[in-house]
Amino acid sequence: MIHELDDLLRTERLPHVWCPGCGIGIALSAFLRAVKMLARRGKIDPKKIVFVSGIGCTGRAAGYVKLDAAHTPHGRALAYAVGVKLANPELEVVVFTGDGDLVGIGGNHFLHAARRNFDVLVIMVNNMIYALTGGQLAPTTPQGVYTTTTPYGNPEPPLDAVKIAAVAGATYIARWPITLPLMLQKSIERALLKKGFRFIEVISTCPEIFGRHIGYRDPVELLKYLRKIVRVRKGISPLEAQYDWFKVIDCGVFLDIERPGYIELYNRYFKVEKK
Amino acid sequence: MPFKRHYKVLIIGDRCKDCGICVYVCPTNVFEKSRKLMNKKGYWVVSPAHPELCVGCKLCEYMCPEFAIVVKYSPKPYSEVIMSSES
Amino acid sequence: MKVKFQPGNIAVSEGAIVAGLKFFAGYPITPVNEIFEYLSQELPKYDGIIYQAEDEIAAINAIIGASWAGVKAMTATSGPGYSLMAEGIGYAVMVEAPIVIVYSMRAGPSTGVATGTGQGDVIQSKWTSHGHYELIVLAPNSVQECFDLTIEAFNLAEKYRVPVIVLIDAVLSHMSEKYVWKSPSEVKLITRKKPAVPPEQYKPFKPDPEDLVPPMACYGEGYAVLAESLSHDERGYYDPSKETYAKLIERLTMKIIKNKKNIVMSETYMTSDANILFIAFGSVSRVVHAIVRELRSKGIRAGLFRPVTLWPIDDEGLRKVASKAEKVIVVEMNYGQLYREIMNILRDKNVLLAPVISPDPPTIDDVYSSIGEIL
Repeated sequence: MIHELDDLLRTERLPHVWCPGCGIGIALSAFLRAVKMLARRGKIDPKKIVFVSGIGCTGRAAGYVKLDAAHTPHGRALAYAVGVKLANPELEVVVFTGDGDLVGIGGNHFLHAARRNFDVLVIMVNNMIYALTGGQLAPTTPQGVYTTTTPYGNPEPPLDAVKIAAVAGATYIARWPITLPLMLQKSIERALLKKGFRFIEVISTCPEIFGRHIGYRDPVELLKYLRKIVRVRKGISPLEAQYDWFKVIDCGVFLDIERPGYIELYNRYFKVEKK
Repeated sequence: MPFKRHYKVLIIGDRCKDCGICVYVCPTNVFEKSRKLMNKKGYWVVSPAHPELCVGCKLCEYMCPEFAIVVKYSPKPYSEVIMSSES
Repeated sequence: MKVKFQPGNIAVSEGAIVAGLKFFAGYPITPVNEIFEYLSQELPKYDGIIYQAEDEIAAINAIIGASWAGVKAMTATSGPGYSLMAEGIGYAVMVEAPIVIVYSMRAGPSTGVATGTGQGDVIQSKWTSHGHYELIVLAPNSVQECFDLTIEAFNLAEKYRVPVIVLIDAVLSHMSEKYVWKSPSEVKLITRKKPAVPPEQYKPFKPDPEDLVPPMACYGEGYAVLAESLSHDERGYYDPSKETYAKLIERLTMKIIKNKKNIVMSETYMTSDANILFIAFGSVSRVVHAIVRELRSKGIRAGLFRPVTLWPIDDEGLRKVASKAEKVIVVEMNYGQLYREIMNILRDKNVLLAPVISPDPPTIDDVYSSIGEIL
């Protein structure tokens, strides 16, 4: 074991399949460091973590972590995670998936899990494109951008998942870019110890597909651009946070409150005499 | 005499994809893109050329998407490219 | 042991509770709402979790997750809901999750007659998902079988790590009959095999050579298992190579085909000297049963072969029983879904179809008018 995260990775499968400079690796690194940090302090047991990812580039992460995991059908990571948590509430369930998988095809599950304040940590790696299949439009793609299915420019306004999570009922909402790996790690550490629906959006870079579509093919050039448009805000509400790839993307912790999570509510209402 | 910490910078060669992020984020220019060593996937492995300049910020370790960089305390500045993490 | 008088839906729920159901995820759909509602009330008393999902897609994925988290899980639906579950069922087959789906057929296609009955989903019950795979479909025809076969469904699911469908219809769901209820200590219950080796040596998809079924380590037991939907090797790692894929698909198929003798069930009625052999399942088989008796009283040597497992069907038993028959008449409430399978099995026989197309419970007259021409 050379790298400190090697015991949380299936090292025999590395190097992983993601492109040079892909932000998913950075996001996964932050998550695993958060797990390692909490494990060292005795706050979490990695053997009780279930790592669920969907289909897409980000979805491949389940195959690289040495944790109980699932690589679920497209859009159903959260639906699967709900079943896992309800069957065994001792497990800490983490959904690590992409923007299209979570709020595109999986939108219904996202809405209802947030509404229920379901006890799950959702990390959405947002690269604003459907990268694995070659660069099609995503719900989070900025307006005007070339994608392979909008070759004349994207007519649609993009979706800001942070706002949906806030309105639906999440109790921890944060957005961090992959250019701030320590802030992301600390945010995940905090979220892992909370109950209820925790949502962390990670603004990621996809140099090979999204970067190429907007003219930033080089991983470092795309990283520089991301650093320019990110603005870390403190104390603003999720509905005030701006999400505009061509102007500014507000990052930070937007919401951190306590409300009973679904497991607590379930136990409160389903108080029956056992047979 | 002022106390100065030293670090060792290790690269797991077979994981490097030559993206250049470590070269960019390092505040003291420890890394250099290089064409000396090619790994089994066909990428030129980055060279941790100047470990004596390392201040231990670990930005390279945190920003490397490949889990390929390790920065640790060391009695003397040191760097090495270990090709594989499997023994 | 007790005698109960309940509708099919409730008998199914009772069977599930006796079998050890611990997680039910459902979505309201006629005609299975009583299962969901009854379990919503009863399952928490048995330490189970009940959950109304936002749609059927969430329900099927949730029960697969619950199954991998170590509990017996079930859902209940009808035609439109099962169509939505298609992708999820494929996932359950691929990751070998033991789950039970209660499927009560109604008149389709599409919304059809929501409160009507039907048998139009014979092929969908097995083949709704993409790719080639095997799963088990049981077809009760009485409230007693609703109870017994639900318990059997859980046993088969746990034994072979495969989704098992309990295929009933709206008639069976809502009709009340007497049946014998048995407590958990009075029935045989099977739970999934657990690994015999420590985590370092365990491979989640490495089968035991005797039955081709891998022992199942679940979440939270320290085995770091991966439920991989992509084509995978024995460790569960993605491998698109020809050898790995062929080996995987072959094993998933052979797991059921090789063990067919221990899975198939069928029932015969007056077939030892039958000249005209009827084939029917589910509630239609009850009507055909009466017709066989009436034909016998008229001197016609009729008999009935009733498949209890629809997929895989007891083809050997069928061939034996049909060997002396002149005519084989398949009676079903569609234009020939079970018929195609029977035609394939009895290729050298005169196999005919007597369709009964109606959203209402089939009557003797309905079936008579359909078979009248061919008799």
